Amino acid sequence: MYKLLLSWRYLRTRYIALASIISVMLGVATMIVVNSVMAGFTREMQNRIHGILADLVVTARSLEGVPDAEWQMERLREVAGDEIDAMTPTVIVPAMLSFQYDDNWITRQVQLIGIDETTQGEVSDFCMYLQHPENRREVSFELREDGYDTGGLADSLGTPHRPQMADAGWQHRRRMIRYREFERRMSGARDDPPDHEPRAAPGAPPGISDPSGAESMPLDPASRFSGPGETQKPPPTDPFAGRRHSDSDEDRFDPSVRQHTGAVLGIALSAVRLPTGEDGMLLLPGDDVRLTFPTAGTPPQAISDTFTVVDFYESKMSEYDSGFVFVPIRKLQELRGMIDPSTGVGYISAIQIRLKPGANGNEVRDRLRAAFDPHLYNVETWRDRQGPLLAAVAMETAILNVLLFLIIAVAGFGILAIFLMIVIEKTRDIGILKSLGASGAGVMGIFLAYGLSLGLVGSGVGTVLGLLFVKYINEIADWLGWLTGRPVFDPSVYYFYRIPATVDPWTVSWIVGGALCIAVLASVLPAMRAAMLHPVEALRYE
Amino acid sequence: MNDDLGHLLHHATGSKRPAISPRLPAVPRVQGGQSLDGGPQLELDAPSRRIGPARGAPGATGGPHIALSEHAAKAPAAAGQGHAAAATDPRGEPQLKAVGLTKSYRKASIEIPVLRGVDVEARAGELLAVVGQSGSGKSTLLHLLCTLDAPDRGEIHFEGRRIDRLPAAERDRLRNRRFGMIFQFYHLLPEMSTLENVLAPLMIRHGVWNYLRYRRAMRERAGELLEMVGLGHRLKHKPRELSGGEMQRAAIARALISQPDLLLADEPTGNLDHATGTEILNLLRTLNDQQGLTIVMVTHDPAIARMADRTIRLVDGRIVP
Repeated sequence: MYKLLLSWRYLRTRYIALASIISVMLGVATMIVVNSVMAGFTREMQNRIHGILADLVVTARSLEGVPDAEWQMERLREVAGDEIDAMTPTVIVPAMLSFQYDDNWITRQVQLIGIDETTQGEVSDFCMYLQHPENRREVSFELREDGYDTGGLADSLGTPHRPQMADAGWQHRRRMIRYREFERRMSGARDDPPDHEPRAAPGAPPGISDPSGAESMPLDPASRFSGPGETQKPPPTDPFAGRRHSDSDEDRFDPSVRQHTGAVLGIALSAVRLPTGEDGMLLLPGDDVRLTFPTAGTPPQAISDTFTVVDFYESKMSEYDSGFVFVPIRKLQELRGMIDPSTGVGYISAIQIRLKPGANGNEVRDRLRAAFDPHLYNVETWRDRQGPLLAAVAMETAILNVLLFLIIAVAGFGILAIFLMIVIEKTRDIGILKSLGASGAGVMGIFLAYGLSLGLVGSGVGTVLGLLFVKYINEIADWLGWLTGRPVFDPSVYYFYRIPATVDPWTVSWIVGGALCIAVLASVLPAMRAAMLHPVEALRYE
Repeated sequence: MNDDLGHLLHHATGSKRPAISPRLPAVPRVQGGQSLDGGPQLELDAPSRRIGPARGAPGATGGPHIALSEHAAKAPAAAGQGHAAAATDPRGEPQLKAVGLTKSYRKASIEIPVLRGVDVEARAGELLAVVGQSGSGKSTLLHLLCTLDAPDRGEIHFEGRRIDRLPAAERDRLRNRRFGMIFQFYHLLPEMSTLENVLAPLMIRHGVWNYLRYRRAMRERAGELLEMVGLGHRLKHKPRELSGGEMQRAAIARALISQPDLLLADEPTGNLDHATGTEILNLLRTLNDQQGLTIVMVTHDPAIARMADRTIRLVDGRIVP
């Protein structure tokens, strides 16, 4: 009993011990904040990575792909059927995206992914990142009339502001066609250009690539350099594309009621983060874009086709958002010549697999690796594919933890020094207690309990501080930004709008437990010293 | 032999022992002998003696209110003998007996002998004074007697049992339960209030659970002891707020809380002015007279020693006649 009472009294009367309490407190608070933010980043990143990547991906090593999705999937089921929940074939090919904004043609390098819209949603959270509520329920490559979200993907990390999205869809497409028509007539009245090339007035709204179909626009990038009027149709280099865009087909194509093949673009291909915090949109759903990609033949040849933007994909992973374009797989197979003309069997470049809940991804991966020739197929889990990124974050977290734990260890040495002082100061009291019959272990217990209570108070206050900090981290960042005049968390640098933070109870308890351990360990030495004091010498101590 | 056995002995003889003083109110008893999961037995109130406050009878010096009645004056012999019979060998062995104690301290490589063969005996119920100049080794002798320190040679027997070679835990137990100690510098714990200081031996004895369970009775008892030594109004004060005399009285109350069989006093008046010192001495004398408490007191002042039943002189680590 006297141990508790005395350690409590020492805690309340030795203000010098507050110094070590504060260092424990700061260490614990910092560790909680850093771990929460890192965990938040990791979680958001993983969610987003996993949103686009399925649990397991079997990829053909060749761009040409491998034949017959059904047969491949049958083989997969044979190897690991009991673990597989769903599968979908994909075609992945590098491509160039070209579109017009005002007078400017903008070309970007992208990864073109052909997906099966009916099964894609089964293997990944792809749908959840789309901008139209209907598409989030079920992906469709049909352009919607309207109803796109202006707030982007509203989640815990804040919402971007994109008022332009309110007009997107068919209404935007029709308005742009009327506008182009008007422009053409105006310019035709002035100087009657032979090529009908639209000239957008400065300050015109976001451009549309082609109001009247492919034939009136030099959408083929080559035509931009060969002069106006030279090529007005896509070059019929690709037999499939050529067949698809037969003259009779295009004659009947009315862009105000028909669309080209739908394409889902990564949001960062269109959105530009303005300094005001709003997003400027280069493209809106309803605009047409031109995609150029290699055919499947050897050697590959470039072909291009016009697609209509039907939605945006916003995972908030800039790598994906600025690099991915999704189109229907069948269309892509046709255009690339990946369909065997005799059998109608399509080639695919990857199969995405969703595993059953609880399945061990690495184990299934290893089984598939054994079954599929590694020279032709690459089997990876989603973690493998983003391995370097995730490993870098994990490494950063680990190093930060080590460094921060050293802070607490330093606090531990502070406790050690202060405790040795207190033991010396309390030498006589220790002698008194021993003369009253307290054992050495009992005296040791006083100081261990004292150390423990220092650790408890320090880590308790530190935990509360840390949790409060994490809870209000964005407010604190805003306030710091206001105070220093420069934003602490600049949303144009990071793709998150708010600082993500996840408090993991396990992490917190590990931190608190570690701090308590250090506090107790640091008090062991002084406590042993106190326990071994000779009572007579302690009583004589002045 | 352990204290539980001694405790049983107390029980066996307690009923036959005559009441010490009918004027002393009964002290609240927390029943001894209750064993909680084999834990320490609560010995708040050993039945052999009762040290209780006496109310209403002002002491002769106007200081501590201790009842000194004719009735009580006769008590020591009876109580003392009764107790001696219970606690020691029936042949009349002294309660505390030290034979041939030597002790030397080492300073650098020089050995400084402090005690050179000291024999001491204290009979139960006796107030023994050990007089010696400073440096004569009297404090060392006291530390040896209460097992705070171990002699180089010689033996110490308490109630017929050798105590100087006991394991540390046994000696701690002995100091906690059987011995009371008073020091020249009071040695109260500065972080605790007067009441808590008095309760300290009981806190040391009992674990948290037992202490909290019997806290009320213990506090009551500590309060009554403080009342008895004249500190009833100072329960909540910290030692630094007390005068020297008050601190020494609190120390006496602390020594008495565990119902000791032997009180060891190290210069109890050494730091006090004459009047206060006399009060403290009267208090000790009264305790000895009324409750038959064996007291061994060391002092450098022969005047103080004169009030003891018996005086031995210690010169240069030896007893001189």
